[in-house]
Amino acid sequence: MSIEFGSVEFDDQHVAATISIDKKVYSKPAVLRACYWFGKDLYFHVNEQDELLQVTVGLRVPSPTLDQPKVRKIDDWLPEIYDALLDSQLRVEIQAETAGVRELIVAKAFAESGILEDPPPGTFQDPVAEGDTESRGLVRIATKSAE
Amino acid sequence: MTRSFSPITDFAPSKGRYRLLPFRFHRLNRQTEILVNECGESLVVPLGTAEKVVRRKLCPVDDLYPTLKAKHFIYDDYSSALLDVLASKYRTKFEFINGSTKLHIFVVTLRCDHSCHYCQVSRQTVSKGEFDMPQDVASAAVNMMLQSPSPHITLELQGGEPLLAFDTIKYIVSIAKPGAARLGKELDIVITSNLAFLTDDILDYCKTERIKLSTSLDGPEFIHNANRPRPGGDSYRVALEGIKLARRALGADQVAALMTTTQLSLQHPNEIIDEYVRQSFHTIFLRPISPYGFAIKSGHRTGYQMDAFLDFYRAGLDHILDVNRKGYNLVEIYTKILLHKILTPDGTGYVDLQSPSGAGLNVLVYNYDGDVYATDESRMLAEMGDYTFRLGNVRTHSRAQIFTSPAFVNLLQAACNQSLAGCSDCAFQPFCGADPVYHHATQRDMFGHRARSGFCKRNMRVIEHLISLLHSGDSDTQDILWAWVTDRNLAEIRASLPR
Repeated sequence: MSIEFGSVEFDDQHVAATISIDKKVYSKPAVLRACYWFGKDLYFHVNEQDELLQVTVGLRVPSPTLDQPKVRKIDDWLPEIYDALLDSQLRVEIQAETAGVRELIVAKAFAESGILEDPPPGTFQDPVAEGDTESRGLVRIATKSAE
Repeated sequence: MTRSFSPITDFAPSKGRYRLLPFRFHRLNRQTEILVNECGESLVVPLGTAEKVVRRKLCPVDDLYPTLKAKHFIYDDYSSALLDVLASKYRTKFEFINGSTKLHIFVVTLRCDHSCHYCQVSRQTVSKGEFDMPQDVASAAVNMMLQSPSPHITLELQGGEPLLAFDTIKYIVSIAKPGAARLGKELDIVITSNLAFLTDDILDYCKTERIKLSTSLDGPEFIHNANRPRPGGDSYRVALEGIKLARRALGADQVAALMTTTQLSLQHPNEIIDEYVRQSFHTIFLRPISPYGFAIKSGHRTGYQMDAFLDFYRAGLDHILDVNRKGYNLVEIYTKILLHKILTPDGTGYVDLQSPSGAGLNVLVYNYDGDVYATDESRMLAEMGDYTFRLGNVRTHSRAQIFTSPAFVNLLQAACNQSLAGCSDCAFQPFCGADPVYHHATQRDMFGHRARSGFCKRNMRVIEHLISLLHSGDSDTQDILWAWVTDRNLAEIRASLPR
């Protein structure tokens, strides 16, 4: 059985490759963030086409030099690139889901310093606990004003 | 009739009915990854856990579920997000911002008798008095220092070799101490010196004024003399003599030593560490060379890649742990700083690894000519003709003008790793910092590119190494590291643990 691992095309010398990525699986921010971390050894060109992101990746140093006597083929980089894509996509999803909570934490943390130009979003109460009137939680946070 | 109970799953929240709290993750190896929440609390878990959590594949009956809840990675119908608790923990991590600038470095002279390969200053010959800080500059700098809101400030007197301008030191101390007392501020004073010009009179003065001494010890004689040439080629002998005299006069805990790693040092981690033990020091800081000033000019003699330093650090740390196992208490300072960030709720006062960067916010440097710089490294860049981080001059600028200067405002934009590309979603963000000055010096870009950054590589690899040590299952190593973090000795730690 042969497995075709994603849609990848290589150049003749295997110093560059083009990876086609389904935008429904990996978002553009995730792809860009994944590429960023390889910037020392690889260069990237990302092209958006309908449902696909086409990522062309090439070796910065394609043949051995005195500074870099060993050169990895572009094929050898692919597992790391795919791992990075997975991780970046998860990070994008975590950030999207938790951005509001994070903003609240930071705003609450520094609200008392008096340096914020605008009041923090929400109230000093825990907005989740507050909204959850049915909560069976053991702990509830009282408002500052109620203290 | 037997009584039967419904399974526990009937009483627990259903699978996947939990919500995420902000966290980041990082693959450690092929088996494990680390999850770190917004406040720096971490969990080392099997690889794939982050994906399982995000994809809602975690069940309430999973062993990890209650831990993830307790450590603020998720919450569910039975718990609150506890935002105020998280905010309080977050604020605690950033406590170091309070009070603004705490460390004030005065460059009292550029004169020096040593010609160290890595020196970050364009030193001047011993006789050139025009490179000493004049009294009007010293007064203005002390005034600016005392305007810092911090209730506890540290005045570090350095050079060049500051003892060559001892009258300037005496003048600065004579106005700084009463000034601080008048304002109710605590004031620590440290002289950073090669100790070559130490005399009994100077030591008497230091004792009376409660001034600490900090010096350089790069390792055994052949390394120290090679790294720190001076006329006579005897910088090692002079340093040891000075350390001995200073300890006798001031007490052992009032004298500290720092080492700098040169290309020569890289091959000799054990010899350097053994020298610190031989000289009865209980701390050592395995510091890489700074990519500034004279260190760059003499790069062929001192320069090396970060990979080489990391090998040196790991070998050195192994040896230091061995030294501790054999009963001698020796702490590696950078390890201690990072472990403190990883294992405790607090931040640290270490200005070179903070976000917002300590540059200006936690440290200011007053050059002999009155120029004010964001860090000592900024001043070194200026010595090379790059004035990017000169914030103003004590003769012509107020403190407010310094902190609203275009140079400082520019620096601030790249001073928070929370908003830097690469750092913003790095799991190690709460343990790390931002260094706009380093990135400007090495990449000509204050923001820097993480994949090419020696600063990033050093901290990523060192943090990974420390996490692997903490989870190695070696209780000896864990006890030693915990002793460092809690400022106790190994015997105390062992006595306090049930075995």
